[in-house]
Amino acid sequence: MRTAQAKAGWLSGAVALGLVLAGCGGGDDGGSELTVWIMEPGNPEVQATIDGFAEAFEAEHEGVEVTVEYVPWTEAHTQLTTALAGGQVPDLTEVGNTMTAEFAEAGAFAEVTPPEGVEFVEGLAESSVVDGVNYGYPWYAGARALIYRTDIFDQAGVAVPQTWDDLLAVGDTIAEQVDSIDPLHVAGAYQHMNQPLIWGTGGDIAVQNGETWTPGFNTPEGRQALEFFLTLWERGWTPEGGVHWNSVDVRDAFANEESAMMIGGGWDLRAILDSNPSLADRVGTALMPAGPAGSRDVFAGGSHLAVFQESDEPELAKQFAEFLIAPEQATAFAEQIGFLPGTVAGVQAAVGGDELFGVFGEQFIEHSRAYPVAGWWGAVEGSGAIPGEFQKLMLGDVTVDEAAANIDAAIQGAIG
Amino acid sequence: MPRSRARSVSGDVPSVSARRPRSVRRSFDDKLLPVLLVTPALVVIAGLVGYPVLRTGWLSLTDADGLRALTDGEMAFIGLGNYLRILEDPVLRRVSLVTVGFGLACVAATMVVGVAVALLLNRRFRGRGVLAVLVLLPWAIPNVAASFVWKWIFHDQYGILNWALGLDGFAWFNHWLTAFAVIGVVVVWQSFPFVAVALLAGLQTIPGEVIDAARVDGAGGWQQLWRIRLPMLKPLLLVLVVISTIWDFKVFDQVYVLTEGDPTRRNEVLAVSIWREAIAQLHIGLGSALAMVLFLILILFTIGYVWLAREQA
Repeated sequence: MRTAQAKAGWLSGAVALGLVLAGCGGGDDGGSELTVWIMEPGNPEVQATIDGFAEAFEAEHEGVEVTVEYVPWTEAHTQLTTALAGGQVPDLTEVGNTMTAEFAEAGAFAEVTPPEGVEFVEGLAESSVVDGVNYGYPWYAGARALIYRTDIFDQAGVAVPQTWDDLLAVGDTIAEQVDSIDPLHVAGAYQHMNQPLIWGTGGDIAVQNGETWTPGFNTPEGRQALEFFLTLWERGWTPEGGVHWNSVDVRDAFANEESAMMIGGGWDLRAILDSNPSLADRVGTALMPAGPAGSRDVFAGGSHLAVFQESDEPELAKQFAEFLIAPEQATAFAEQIGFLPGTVAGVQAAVGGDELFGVFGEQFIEHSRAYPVAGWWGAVEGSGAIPGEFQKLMLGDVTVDEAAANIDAAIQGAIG
Repeated sequence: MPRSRARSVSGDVPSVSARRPRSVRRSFDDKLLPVLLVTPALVVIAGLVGYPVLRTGWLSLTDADGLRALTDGEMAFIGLGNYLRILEDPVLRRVSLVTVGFGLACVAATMVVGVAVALLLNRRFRGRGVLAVLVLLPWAIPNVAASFVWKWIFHDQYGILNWALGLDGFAWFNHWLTAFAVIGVVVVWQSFPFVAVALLAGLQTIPGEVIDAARVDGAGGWQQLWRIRLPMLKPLLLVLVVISTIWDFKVFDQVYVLTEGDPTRRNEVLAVSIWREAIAQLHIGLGSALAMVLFLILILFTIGYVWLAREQA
């Protein structure tokens, strides 16, 4: 009995080893294999769509086998890091546009040239260019705008706010005129609403001058942005738990008819209408109100497709990437996940003329930009320092001046 | 655990061999065979435990930082630099102390609840079997799932707890003390069932005569517990305290899901700091040093417990 078991053990071990060796030597059957990583937003339909694209591509290219592997978004950074450290990289990967520069600077990605004659949305396209070299195909993205309740606005007799001052005034009027609803909620862990406020005052998160980066929160503009955020919080419109809230909490509150305005993306509005369809004829959208410097810019958050430097099939990987970002595929996919394709034409095809969602397209094309396109940005996000300082500000642990100085110290620490 | 098991196996063999006459065959059986039998386990343990620990120890002495350190091995030996940084950094220093304080509090609470539940289940009453199964449930739920459920229970707006207590919008996670209370509840809720069931098994080995004799001598419930039951279970209690200490000092999931160490990193414990430094920011050297600090703390506590046990014996 014992020897039989031992034999079985040896045998299975040998088989496993054989399989591993066979795996290493794969791809010798004349055809080409392409391994692609796609980030998984937790929606099973997305997998079906992407698998369909892979099959269509295989049908067009004889002898090509595309293997799509899905990586959860929360694991994206770790998976890419591990793959790179272990030298086991796919040929092509989707990568969040805040991470592209980090991996590009580490030498992970190959230079690619997006197809000519296509106008890409700048906010997304600029975030794949490091030191003048482009490392990604702009795939899809989204931008946040103002989502508001038309019925509450009518009741309070207010118009859509065009500036930050308007926003405060409209909020005050709603607080005065309408019971049982908060004008607007802010959230400590909603970094993509909070940190872009600095663009509204004419500042920047960090400014590049040649080789050097200088953090920008500890400046008059940076402090003015923090001051505005603090004002929104100190109005008392947000429950005290807002310190710990994130974008989903803000959205849930809006869907539960507890707030009259929120800053959110098209995907937020879809989720809101899904959970509370009765809001369909009572919501409106508008561009993000302009800050004192006149800018309405918000964060252009999305994805690139990047080819790995170590890929055995770089040309094929580029072809598949171009296939995915082609209008037909990109528009279908972006719409499915509530985002917008990365081309101006694609955005217009997707939401142009739409009363509700058209605004998100305009916001994305005209008024969005990227976070600092630099390898160190990943460490800033990883440190959680910026949302942390916003939370401390809300708790009264720090003053605006201290928060500004702390944020800059954290950014400087990451720059090195 | 595996290491101590391996030691006890090799330790048993010589005592058996002492009685046997010497011969080539015997000396093979006595000396070589045990080594051969233990070797596969040792190789696996050395590969899966020894190497990572040594590698982490080495990385903790380097300035490994960023993707380049992983891809090209770009790092330099800096001695105890990372450890000095931990000592100098007010946040990391606080995190180390908080980990010990929070861990010990969780261990104490787990033991108290575990003993109480074990004593309850040791009585005969209707529905005891059902209750015993229900008690095990929290242990069977994955940490992350349980943490999400508790996060909703404690949600400031829609949580059932604030509703039940009539606390309108009380934000449990805004203050580090209440946030730690919530995390502690989840950790203890998930770890007491194991302690309770293990102790229940122990309680049932105590001969009924001993308790009867104590009762005849006029010992009350508390005296029976403190003078008889717990002292008789001391070896078991000690093992449970050691296991709980290891579990509760390196708790990650619950903290990560419930607060991620926020607000303002006051709810951070070492396991979360290690993740924040080594994984999120790729400060591999510093993260490794933090991991070694946690490792050393756990070794110190374990040695302390073992020493205590020997003293008592």
